[in-house]
Amino acid sequence: MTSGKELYENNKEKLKKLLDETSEEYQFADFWGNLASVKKHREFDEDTKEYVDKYVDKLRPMREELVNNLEKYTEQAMKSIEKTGAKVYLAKTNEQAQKLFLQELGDERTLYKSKSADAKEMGILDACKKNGIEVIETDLGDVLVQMFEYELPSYQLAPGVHFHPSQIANKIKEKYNVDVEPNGPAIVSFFRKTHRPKILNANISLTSANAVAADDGSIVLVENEGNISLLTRLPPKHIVICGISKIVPTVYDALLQVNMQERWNTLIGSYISFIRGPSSTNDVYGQKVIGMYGAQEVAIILVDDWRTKAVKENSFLKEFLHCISCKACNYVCTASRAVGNIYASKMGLGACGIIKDYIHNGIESAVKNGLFLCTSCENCKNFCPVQVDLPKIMRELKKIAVSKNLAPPPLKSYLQNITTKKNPFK
Amino acid sequence: MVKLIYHGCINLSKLPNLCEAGTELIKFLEPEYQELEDPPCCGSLLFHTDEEGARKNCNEVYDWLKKNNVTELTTICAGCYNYFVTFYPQYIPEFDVKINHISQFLSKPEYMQMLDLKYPGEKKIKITYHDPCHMKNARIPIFEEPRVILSNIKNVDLMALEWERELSTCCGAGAGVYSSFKEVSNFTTADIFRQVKKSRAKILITPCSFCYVSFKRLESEKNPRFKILKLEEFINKLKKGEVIE
Repeated sequence: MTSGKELYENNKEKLKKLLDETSEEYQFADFWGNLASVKKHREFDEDTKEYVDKYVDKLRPMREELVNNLEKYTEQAMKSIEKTGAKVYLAKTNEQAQKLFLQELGDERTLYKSKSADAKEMGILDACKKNGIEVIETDLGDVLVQMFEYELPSYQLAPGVHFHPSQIANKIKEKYNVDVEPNGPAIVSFFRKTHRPKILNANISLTSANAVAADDGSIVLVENEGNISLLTRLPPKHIVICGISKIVPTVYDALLQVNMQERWNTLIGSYISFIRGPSSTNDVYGQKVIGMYGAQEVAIILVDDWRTKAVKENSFLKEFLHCISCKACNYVCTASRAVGNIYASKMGLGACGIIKDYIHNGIESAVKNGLFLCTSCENCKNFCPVQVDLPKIMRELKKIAVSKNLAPPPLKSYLQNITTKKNPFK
Repeated sequence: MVKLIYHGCINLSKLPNLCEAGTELIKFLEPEYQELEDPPCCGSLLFHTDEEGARKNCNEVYDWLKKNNVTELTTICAGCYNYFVTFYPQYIPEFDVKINHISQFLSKPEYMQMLDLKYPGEKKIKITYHDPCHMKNARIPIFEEPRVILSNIKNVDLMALEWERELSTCCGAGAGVYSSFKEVSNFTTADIFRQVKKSRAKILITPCSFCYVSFKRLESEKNPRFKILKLEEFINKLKKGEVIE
């Protein structure tokens, strides 16, 4: 195991990159520090404020009902989904989810996907890479990340938001030999022309879900770009992969959850899709035929991995299951604003990214990715629509790290002084 | 029955002038308040890092307070205030020592009357106040008391920071981050300074020693056109009739 000193030095080396204006880390932090802030996050317009004030108090009880009865709702969701004519699997682990996904993909070598933090977290993208499957991103943010071959963590709601239009235009010239004006409309128009026809010819698509209704099996997805609408309707097969914590008790809860995911971030998505199995028609003599204009096959892989274990053991990670993945905590995080994607893992910025990193890669990785940069300002909890106690989870992670001798040496010395001299500064 | 002035170890070890200011003010208003020798650290960092250590330290501090018959304490440290009111009852349900932050102590109407504060300069002075995380996140949050004190000072205009109260910007020094990664505070403190500049205040008042240390470090680098003073330091200067240039 690496020592706390080595991890600390590694963190300090990364932070030095913030002094180099040409580094990718500087570029992200510079953009993010100006974009993200508590104040900007809370500047709701009147409509949004009205909606948030009216409904936000309903979220925590709904999530508690789900988390406290996770197995029951998972079972109910599986049955409901099955009734819709979709295939449904419960993967016990991420590895099992990867196998099921590859099995559903069959001989197809090209995958069209929407933005999906779950797919990344569950190792689906790595499994694709390992098996020579070409992944074509369709969310413009991910398209940009893919074009730039950007490896560092970024803001999951808009993963390419930190690229300057002139950078994008230059990259398009380099990759496609096309001159594009360095502005939003011109860049969007370019990708509409190049990427939309590709989606129209896709055979298999992959999306995650913003919510899954246990009572009627609806898969609920929110988007602005229209890529999810196309991906879930046009290809013959649509695969959904998501954690079981995306399940909610009822379809009304699903609408509440997805609306709050948007509104809490002062966004109003253009489309909300409720998908209940493959397309079908009864128009030929009343006979139900599966597969009309929309998808002919829908396969849903619900992934447990660490989730029911956290509930059964009542571990500190149980609290994390209340999260609705709105990413608001990214936006208000003190350390994230200050150091950008140096305090982050591949699974996201800030506390959520670090906690997921711990779950999947262990405490050493969490420390390496900046666990001890968390200032415990508690903005993440204070501005969470579900009041998820991320600060408490982060404290638990720090306790684990300290017990394994992974704390930064200056902090370690303070802690020793409190115990031995009753004063950290003596 | 002892009323204790609890400075907090950062002040005792690094900021003796703040301890003096706090003691002078508290004793002026309530002479029975006492300082005790070698007060133990409240254990702040242990709550983030060591469950058993935190529990043990809580019990030791509580025993020390009990041994010295302390029934009430007033602290000039926002961190100590937060840990005493938020964390101690979690570890010691019977914790019964009354905890005050100095802003709660000073804002009592009778003490405000006794102090009768006035800025002695010829012209009115603009000041601003920064809400620290330790006070906004405490089980009993403190937003109003410092504002009551500062807005009642004659010849002073209290200016709001762009981001204040629940929205206020963290100084980046909490949870021991300052000891290891000053990079966080470099950014956030610069942002707070930007807000102070925008407020046109000539003095930035903080009630938190960690924010104070963070601000003072950047003050020496950035040389901003405003003073940084800790709440009790500012009030004590006014009490003595000092003009703050």
